[in-house]
Amino acid sequence: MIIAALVAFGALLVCWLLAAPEPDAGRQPAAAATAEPIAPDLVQAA
Amino acid sequence: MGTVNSGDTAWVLVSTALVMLMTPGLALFYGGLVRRKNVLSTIMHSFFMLGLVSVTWVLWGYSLAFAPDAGFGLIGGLDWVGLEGVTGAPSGTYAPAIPHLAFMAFQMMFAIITPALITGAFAERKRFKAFVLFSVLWSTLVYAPIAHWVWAPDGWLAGLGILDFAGGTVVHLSSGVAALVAALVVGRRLGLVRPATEPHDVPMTVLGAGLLWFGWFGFNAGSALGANGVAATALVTTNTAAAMAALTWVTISWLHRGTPSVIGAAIGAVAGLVAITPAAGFVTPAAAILIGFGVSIVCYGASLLRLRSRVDDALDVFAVHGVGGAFGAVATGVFATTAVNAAGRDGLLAGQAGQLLIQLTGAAAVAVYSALMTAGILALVNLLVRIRVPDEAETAGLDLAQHGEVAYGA
Repeated sequence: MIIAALVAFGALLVCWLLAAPEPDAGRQPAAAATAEPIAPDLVQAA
Repeated sequence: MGTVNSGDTAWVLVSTALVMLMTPGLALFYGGLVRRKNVLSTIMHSFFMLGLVSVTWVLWGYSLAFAPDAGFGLIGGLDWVGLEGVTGAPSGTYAPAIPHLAFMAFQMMFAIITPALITGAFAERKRFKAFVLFSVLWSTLVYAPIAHWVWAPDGWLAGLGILDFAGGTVVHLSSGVAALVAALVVGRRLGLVRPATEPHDVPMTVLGAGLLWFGWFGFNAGSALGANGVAATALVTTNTAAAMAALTWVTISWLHRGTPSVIGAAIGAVAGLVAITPAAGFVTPAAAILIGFGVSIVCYGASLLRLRSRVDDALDVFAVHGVGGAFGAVATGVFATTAVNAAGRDGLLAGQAGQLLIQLTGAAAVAVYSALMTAGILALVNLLVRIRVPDEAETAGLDLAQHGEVAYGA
């Protein structure tokens, strides 16, 4: 049973690393491509 | 092997649930601090960790951390892989009055939140695949051994006599140092300019800090592993240190920046919670006030230093958890007293300067090991999966580029 569980998790790991497609970095609708300010800074804000 | 005590068991099970809630709380705390185009990816780092480490902990993590030693006090063996032999009966080694499974589950929640803490350092630029692989490797090769060193009775730091009630070194120092290394390796975010601007959702951050504070009662008071006086002490010192640290951080920022910052209150409370973590069951409430006061000064200073450096530890994980964890470890060596907890040890102020040396040794060992292993793991991950997203993805935001979703409508 434990071996089977290890194999099942291993299958997920292989999928994540090898089979899952790389997300399309080209998608940039207007909502995401904002002129939003860079980088919160804790002390600056605090 | 002891008999299960219903009161102790109930408290540890409730504490397990409280600590579980800290990880979504952390997701909100971090999520509010990033730009709106990266809030989902930041939240996902914590939420996905709940699934990821829950499974690896059952399969091998718990065994590597807490099973009988495999050699030299460095790591546990494989006796409990897949929780083989870990049942509803009490363990012969850990917490004799609660089911072994309850102890395992409680520890699981610590194992989950520790690598989640690191994610604040590489927010807004790390590839999700790289995050997954890094988290599995770090949890296995860094967290589990350090937990064994400190909390397994046959761990080498436990043998020295280190005091770490709930994870100042195991959780906070290890993750804080790893965060610093990760920030250095991954590099600065594109277009990082100063002066930096405000987080995208302060109420989200404050809600997250509130959930962290609430969950921390389970984290620290639950580490008594029983419903008893030590748990009550830990709960009171935890709340007291968080409160004093919040007051102190707000005061410093008020004097320094001219306004009593809301974010400063949230960060200050977290710094206090971090610092009291190793000390919670070993010190008095008065000592907790001093710890809360001191940690805010030290961590605020660390944040200022980080600002002046080139290191882009995006959410100041090192300044709060690394520095705060180290401060707490040292403070434990100063303020610990067996008058509070007979199972503990006396610190410097109780006449045992040697305890301070042990705390310093333990903190140094954890920091060096975490730094070296984190650098090695990141190098390996970068060979297999590029760590950083392409520039265009970073510009678009990780929510869309990595997850195909956006948090808020146009």
